[in-house]
Amino acid sequence: MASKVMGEKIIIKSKKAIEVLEKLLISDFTKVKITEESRVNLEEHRKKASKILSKLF
Amino acid sequence: MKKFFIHLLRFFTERKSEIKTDKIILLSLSDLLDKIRSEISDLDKMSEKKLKKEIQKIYLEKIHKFSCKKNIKMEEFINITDPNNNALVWELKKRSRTYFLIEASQTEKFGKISIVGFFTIGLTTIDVDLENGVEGYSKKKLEDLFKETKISYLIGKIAKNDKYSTMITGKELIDFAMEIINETHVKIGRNLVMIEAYYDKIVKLYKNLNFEEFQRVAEKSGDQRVQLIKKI
Repeated sequence: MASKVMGEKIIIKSKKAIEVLEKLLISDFTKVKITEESRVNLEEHRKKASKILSKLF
Repeated sequence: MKKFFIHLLRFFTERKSEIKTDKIILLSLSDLLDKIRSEISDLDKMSEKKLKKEIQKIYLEKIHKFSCKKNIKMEEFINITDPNNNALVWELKKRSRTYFLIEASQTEKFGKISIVGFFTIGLTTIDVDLENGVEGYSKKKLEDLFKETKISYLIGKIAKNDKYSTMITGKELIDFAMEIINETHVKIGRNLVMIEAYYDKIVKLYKNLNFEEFQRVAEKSGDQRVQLIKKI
């Protein structure tokens, strides 16, 4: 799916959008954990990617 | 005839079940580009234009063609159909970052990268049109709300290769993208993620992944795209 807005501003044109944004931004931040549990081991992928790249070049 | 269909059905179900995501590796286009650069001798002496051409040539030699008939623009972005608007140019200009999910065994076997799917992540800002206003909100209220610039991560492009469409789900692709975003926001902050969709089926998938419909934007072509947002 292509986005039209990469590198451009998203302009809010509707009341609903502001309401959604307000709701997301006003919620209680102190209760939200900063780090989330990983579902993907990025380090492992980086190691494998580096290995595969060295085979290709 | 019946036997043939049973065989065909078994072929597809078995094919689906034998494909596991541990065969898939996340590869950043940046890492690939660095490797390509290291292949080019006399890099410093080359003009920008010649270097770009050389990088493009090696890139196309190293990847299998990406196929996405549902959205040709995705094919063109990866296969560099437009020399000025493609994954390489976006990466080199640091406009965004593209990540490939590659099929490891095929890539090793043929010495060419088999892209199962990809996504592109960047940043965007969310603003309001103060001139035209928004129904139900005074100008003062809007000015107060948008005093601070609202920056959001944006999953700008995301697609699966038709050849490997059963190998990864849309949800898994989003999981990989969110993992990169999570890693980034822990280091530099910001708490919003945006994504766009043209089809109801895709909107539904994103909603299932806790994205909330933000607004619908009408395009000149008559198409309507849905912007969705999520807090992290």
